[in-house]
Amino acid sequence: MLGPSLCRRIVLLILLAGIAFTTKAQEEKFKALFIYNFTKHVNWPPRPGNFVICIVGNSSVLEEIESIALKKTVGSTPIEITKANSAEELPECHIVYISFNKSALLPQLLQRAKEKNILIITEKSNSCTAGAGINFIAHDGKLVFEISKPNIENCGLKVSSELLKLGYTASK
Amino acid sequence: MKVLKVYIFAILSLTIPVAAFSQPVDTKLETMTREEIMQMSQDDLLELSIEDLTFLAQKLGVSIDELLKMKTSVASKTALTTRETPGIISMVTEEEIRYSGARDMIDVLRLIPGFDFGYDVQGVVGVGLRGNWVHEGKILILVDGQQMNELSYYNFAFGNHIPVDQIKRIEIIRGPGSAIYGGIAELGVINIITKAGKGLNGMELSATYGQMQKSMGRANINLNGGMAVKKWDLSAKGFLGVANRSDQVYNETLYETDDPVDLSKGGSEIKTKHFNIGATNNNLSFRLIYDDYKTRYGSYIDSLVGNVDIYNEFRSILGEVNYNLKLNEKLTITPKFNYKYSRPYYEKDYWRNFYLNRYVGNITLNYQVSQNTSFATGFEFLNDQGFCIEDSGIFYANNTGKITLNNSSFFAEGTFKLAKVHLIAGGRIENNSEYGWAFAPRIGITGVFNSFHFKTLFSGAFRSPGIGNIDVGQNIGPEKSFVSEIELGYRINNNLFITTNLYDIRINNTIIYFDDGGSLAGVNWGYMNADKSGSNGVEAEIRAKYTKGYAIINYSYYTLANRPVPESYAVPGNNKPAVGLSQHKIGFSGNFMPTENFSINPSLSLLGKKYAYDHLNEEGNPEVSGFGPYCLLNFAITYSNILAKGLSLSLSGYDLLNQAPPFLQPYNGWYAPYPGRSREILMKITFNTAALYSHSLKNP
Repeated sequence: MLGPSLCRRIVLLILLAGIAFTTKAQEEKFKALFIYNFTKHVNWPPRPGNFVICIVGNSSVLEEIESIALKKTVGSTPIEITKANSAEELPECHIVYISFNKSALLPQLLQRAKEKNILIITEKSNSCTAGAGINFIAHDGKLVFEISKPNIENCGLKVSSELLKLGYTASK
Repeated sequence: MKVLKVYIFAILSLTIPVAAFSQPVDTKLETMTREEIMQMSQDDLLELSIEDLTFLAQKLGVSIDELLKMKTSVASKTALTTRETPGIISMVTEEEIRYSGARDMIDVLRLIPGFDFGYDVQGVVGVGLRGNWVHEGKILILVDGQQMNELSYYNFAFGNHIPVDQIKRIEIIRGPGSAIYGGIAELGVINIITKAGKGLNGMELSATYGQMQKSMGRANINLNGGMAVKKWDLSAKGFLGVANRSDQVYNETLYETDDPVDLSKGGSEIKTKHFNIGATNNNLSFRLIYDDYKTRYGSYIDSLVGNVDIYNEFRSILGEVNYNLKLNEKLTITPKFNYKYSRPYYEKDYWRNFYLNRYVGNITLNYQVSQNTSFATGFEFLNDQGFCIEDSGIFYANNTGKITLNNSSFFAEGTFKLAKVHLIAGGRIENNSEYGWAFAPRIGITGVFNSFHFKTLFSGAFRSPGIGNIDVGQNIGPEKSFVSEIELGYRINNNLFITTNLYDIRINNTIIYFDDGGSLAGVNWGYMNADKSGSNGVEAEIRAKYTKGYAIINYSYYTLANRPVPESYAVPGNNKPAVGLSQHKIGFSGNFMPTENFSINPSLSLLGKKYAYDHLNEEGNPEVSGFGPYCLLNFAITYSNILAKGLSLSLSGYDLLNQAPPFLQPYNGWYAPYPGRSREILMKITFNTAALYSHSLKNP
């Protein structure tokens, strides 16, 4: 049997050990990096102006992608980052990233995407089944993305075979 | 036993040269640790190709959201997330089991709020939950949807039984499940889901050896195999194990104390065989399980043959076929047929050995009425037939060698999503040929508001008597309970999540075992419906998940105060605890991975004081003593991809402080406490062929 004082000491040590675990979340950083890399593997019809990425909803991805936009271009076209909270606020853009808490807007944005050649990227399960082009998911604890070639082509875009091989093929 | 040790050594010897010839992957990114990846600058990461970026992303972990967004259908007919589902749920993942070094389900459940273990009879260790001895047919154990409880009393024996190396995930309802599962799930459900073929994608071989202070702890071999072929998911898993329950000194009963047995020299062996075969495609699925579990609990000297070991054996063969018929986008019908052969409490040459056949037909209809409303309903019929094996055997209930029981049930459940709130309402009604009607209604309201969630649950439940209870029962009927539960949860940030819940369990017509020392079954000994019982309490848990590891801390407390308690379960002079079960429990499980392949895993169970009958007073009546508290400190380290990809080594120590808590009998049954296990040091070697191809970025 164990004395009560030793039990208390052991519990305290364990609590202190738990608090000692610290690290920085990497997920949002990698999502932003992926979004930038998708621009190298998807073809949009030519249009004038900057390459516009719109973030819908609150997401830490916004800060990360803004940081990338300061350094990188798509081809020779500067990257412009905008923000929207509703389908009505959505500007002309090439990519729409719908954060998890705004996933309900996907159906409204789909028609716009088809008309305006927009790549829709989401982060909620089953979004590719619902029409998104690319969707970030966790598979066996790892950040991966699923991709739907039909959904992307329905928006008038072309996706490279290399990107299709890297993503999980979305299925119904 | 010696033969098994030779087999283990031979298999281990073969895996090492096979692994050494495997081709190592040789790129800079392959060898980068998580820490190195995290230290890479954004500029460095921007220079990578998308192939390299994908590979690095998969090396990093994710936040607590992954756990919170996992869908479960253990507590409802509709798959909901853990925060939405109408039950107080615990989820245990494959990784948590592997890293903790858990030897068996006792180690897994000792870290879950509310669970404790006690000794029943004949070498059987059973489970208690929230201050109730649920071993007596009140907790349902499922493996891939198959009911593992034996069919006579609906017991399930723990201890080196269900192979942990086959488990993908465990979903636990720490509360009633009768509305979904019927009369064995009165107070809890443990739903074990094993690894599918697609995830195995090859073979996985594990060999474990554990050594206690004075004798072998366990020696186990497990082999999993599986693959996805066209649209079929195929898997086959097999386990052979031997273990010793204890290495201490033991007196079986309170009244026979003159001839204790030194279990380090034998007398507590457990022998397990468990095989699980499955084949599933989109619509059709098959499952076959063979489970054979023997516990040695005594011996005697036969004048003709010498030493005779007494083993208590549980054997089950389970089979299922079901088909999902999708009539349209909204409507699915699933007919299902199950067969189970159960031969419980079998002792060689015992005159009342018997076996049971169970046939179950079930049809369930799932209707997605709209995006926010779903409905499930169905009907089930089961037929149990018991047969005595020996010519002289009879069932006391009808004085013949055969007994039959039929049960029909109808169930329905609706799930309604209203903005951020889910309303779940439903119930199950049963009619049994022996005891008549039983009804289990349920209503639950759950809501998720960004970081905060709540659950309010009211459930009726019942415990059906099995053929074994009926056979020696005094006009026994179902035990009925009503459980109220409230849970609050808060997602503190991306990495921290906390929950707490309160519960109140009220049981009527408690089915208890009685024994006044006489010999007439059903009159002097057997089962009866007794007084009210139940418990109430609180449970709380904090989960922290980070890239380099995780930590889980929980606390649980129950009390029986201010409610009637059957005399057999009550501690004389103390109205708060139940016999044999700790009121207070703290569980801790930690994981720290300084590198991708190396993990350090401490765990701890603090069991509060408990009470049990362990001696006779001057009048020759059983009397209680206090036991504990106990601090079970465990430590495991795992090194993956040691020597070569796919080969991992785990070293662990259980009960490092050598507390050896005994398994107490949670009622006044005249059995002495069963001694616990001393400190056990284990080594496990696992070889996984799928890991050889894990860098492939094709769809799994």
